[in-house]
Amino acid sequence: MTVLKQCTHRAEGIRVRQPLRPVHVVGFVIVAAGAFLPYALESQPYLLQLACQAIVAAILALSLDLLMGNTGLLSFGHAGWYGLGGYTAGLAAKYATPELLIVLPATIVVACVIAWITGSVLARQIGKSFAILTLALSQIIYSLVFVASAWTGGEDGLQGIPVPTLAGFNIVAPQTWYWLLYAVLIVSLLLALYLRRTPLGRAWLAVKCNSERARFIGIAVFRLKLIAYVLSAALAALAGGLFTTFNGAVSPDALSWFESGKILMYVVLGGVGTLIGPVLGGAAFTFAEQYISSLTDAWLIYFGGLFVLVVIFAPGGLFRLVSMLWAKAAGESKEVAR
Amino acid sequence: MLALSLALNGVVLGSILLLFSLGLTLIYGVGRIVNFAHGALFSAGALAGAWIANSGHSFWLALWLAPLLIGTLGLLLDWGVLARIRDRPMVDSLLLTFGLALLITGVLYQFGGRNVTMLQPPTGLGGTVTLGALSLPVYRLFVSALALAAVAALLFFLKNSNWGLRVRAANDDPEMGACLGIDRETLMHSVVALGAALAALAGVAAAPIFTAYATVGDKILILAFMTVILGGLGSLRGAIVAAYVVGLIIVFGEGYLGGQVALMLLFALIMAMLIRWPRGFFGEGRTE
Amino acid sequence: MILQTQGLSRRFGGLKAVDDVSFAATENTVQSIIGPNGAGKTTFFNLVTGAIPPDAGRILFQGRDVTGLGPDRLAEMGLVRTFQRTSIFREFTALENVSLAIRSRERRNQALFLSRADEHRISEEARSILAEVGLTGSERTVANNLAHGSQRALDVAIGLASRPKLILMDEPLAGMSQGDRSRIGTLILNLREKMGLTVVLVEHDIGMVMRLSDRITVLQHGQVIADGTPAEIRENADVRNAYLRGSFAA
Repeated sequence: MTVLKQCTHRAEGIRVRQPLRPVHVVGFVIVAAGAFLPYALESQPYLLQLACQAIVAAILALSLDLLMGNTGLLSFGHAGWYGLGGYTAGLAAKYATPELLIVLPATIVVACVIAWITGSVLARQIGKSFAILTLALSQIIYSLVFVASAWTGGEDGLQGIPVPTLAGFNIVAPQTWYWLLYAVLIVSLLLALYLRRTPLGRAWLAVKCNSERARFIGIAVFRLKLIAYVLSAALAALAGGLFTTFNGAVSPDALSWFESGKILMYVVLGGVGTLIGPVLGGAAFTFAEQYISSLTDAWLIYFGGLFVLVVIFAPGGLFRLVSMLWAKAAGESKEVAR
Repeated sequence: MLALSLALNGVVLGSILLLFSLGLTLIYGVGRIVNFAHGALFSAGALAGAWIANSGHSFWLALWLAPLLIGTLGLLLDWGVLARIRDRPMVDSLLLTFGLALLITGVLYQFGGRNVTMLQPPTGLGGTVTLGALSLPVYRLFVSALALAAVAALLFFLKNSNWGLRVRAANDDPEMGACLGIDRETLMHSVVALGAALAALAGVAAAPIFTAYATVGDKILILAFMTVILGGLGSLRGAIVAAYVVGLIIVFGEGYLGGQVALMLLFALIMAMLIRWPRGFFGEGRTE
Repeated sequence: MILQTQGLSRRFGGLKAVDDVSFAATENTVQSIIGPNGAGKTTFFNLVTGAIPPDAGRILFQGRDVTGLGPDRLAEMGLVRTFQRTSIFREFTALENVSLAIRSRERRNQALFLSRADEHRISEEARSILAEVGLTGSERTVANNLAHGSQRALDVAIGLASRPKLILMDEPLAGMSQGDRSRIGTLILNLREKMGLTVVLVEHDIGMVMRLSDRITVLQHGQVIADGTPAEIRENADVRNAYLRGSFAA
């Protein structure tokens, strides 16, 4: 059992007509329930706030899985894109306009450009060099924040970001934020799942399964890696932009190793390549972190320890565990493609 | 004479970086593991050394005891943790060492690592030495000499001992290395232990310059990563040259442009280099 | 002459692995390259398939100079190879493996959409290729779950999806059981008969080589020591000496 080879999505074919399975119904119910959460949490604004953070974490996890699950490349500096998006959006909102319909696309464009440039070099490297360079890149973005500290506020972070507007309407209420974030999450997730079943998605999986043969049959491996890299950076930057405008401030801590490690943890814990696993992992982890860090401040030790244990003993992530249990419970034969 | 003074400081940084990076290179060469925890080991060495020296013992004791302790830690980590994923693909080992880095850093925080600990150089090595218009702290000269001596000793050992032969064989071709009959496990234990000890030695030796705290090794790790990429992953002589190149670039960059910009410049240079020479200075970088 | 090499050479350090080898393959035949271990077969193979560049000499495919071109370019031109360690996409079904290769050929791999008609056409073609290699009935089996011999056949099927003219096979019989061997042998003959391909193999199984080949080339120490029909090779004194020297251990 290894971390990457847990392709639990069907490798059957493009647009294979899937009959409505119990899993789909459950999924739909969960998604609908999620939309009603703000009503349930009406009297607990703090929890709703936390739920918003959980959704941002879920989007981040999804973005990293777009890279890891589709190409097998590991990024140890994913928080760098998150931070880049956060600062770009924050600066745009503060000094240009707080209109999200301008700020967010601008953030995505900036991230895409930088990802395209760096990815053109990075994606050509072997996996280990790539991993190292992603860490270095996140440090560079961190450095950039300090170099431009006149604008970014340096150590103290960027503050005083005005309340954002969406098509002219102020977004202030936590419920509104929640729904906005939730919508972004669900749409991204559905798009990512759809992408799986397109020729592009199949080609990605082929690269991940056997990149040598993929090259031999004419698949443009480098180009596919680059596309995945840019997409994952763009989504992470979007998450950062959303969070920063929601939060009103952003600090350099958002770019730290620890943050990158957390995102990795969401994905590995959830199950690389499963898309849904990392999303759930990110959300669950955010709640767990809040709870545990209120109990102890040796948080980092537990986190590192958990990371180590998961990699050694459960590299397929919890998603695989759950799907195996589900398959048993539903009496289905093992349909999980190895 | 600013340039010359910067150059000397660049050599000092390069020497420390070299000492640190050699362990990283060996662990990669023999075990095909990129050790993300190497920086944490540097920090552990610095803190252990500072703790030993500041509790009334001599600096010299700290200088060899800290590496010994951390080397043992490295041995235990390889035996207990890394050994469990020996035959897994590289992704797992990258994640594992990353997790270890967080774990070790967390432990260091618990042992007072949130504070910055100063370590004074021993009385024999304080002060500065003046050569014409230049003056350089004696301690820095000492650190460079120490690093170079350690590196020379290591290289000598690699060339002239049985152990060294096995390490070099495994570095060139791990499968062949396994065929050489001797226990691959033991070899790996020894390489990780040595790597950890070297990182710790770099940490202690550099502590009077960089101070000691839980994340002091993080920046060095980034520099070391850039070094090994420049030199070519797995290339020993590449690492030697690259360490000094990086040291000089950083110091000169800091001198003229400011610390953060220097780092960005270095990164940009690496990117530019990778476009044309993806296998590092000597073209010996691994392709797998 | 669909494939020709002229004075091909390659050295590694001090060793001349391939030394001035001139080779020619006629269209629609099965040709084998044999030789003792270390004879340079694999290196020759890697040279011709574009995996490594030669030091000297030329490679001509269908009359065009293709020296130095990489394997993906060669695949586009109709020169395809299979792998000694079966190289397939284990997480895909057999049908998907071949469909993937077909979509690659048609340059559809970055598409976000494929029409129903195209999908259908591609899977029909994939089905027929699988039938050629004897994998009918296994279309929906995940590749990793196929038997060893079937995986080897799938490896060939993936190559066939590129509509090659020439297929180079690197020890296609290695590690196969007796039953699988004859199956692959039949497959190879089928490629020549029904699909009109030219097949060039590197192999150690002399028995099968004798039975399958129209022509055999023997290498030793990087040089061609004999070249002819199976009957001629069997009588050839130099070849027998090479055998007797005991370095033909499979």
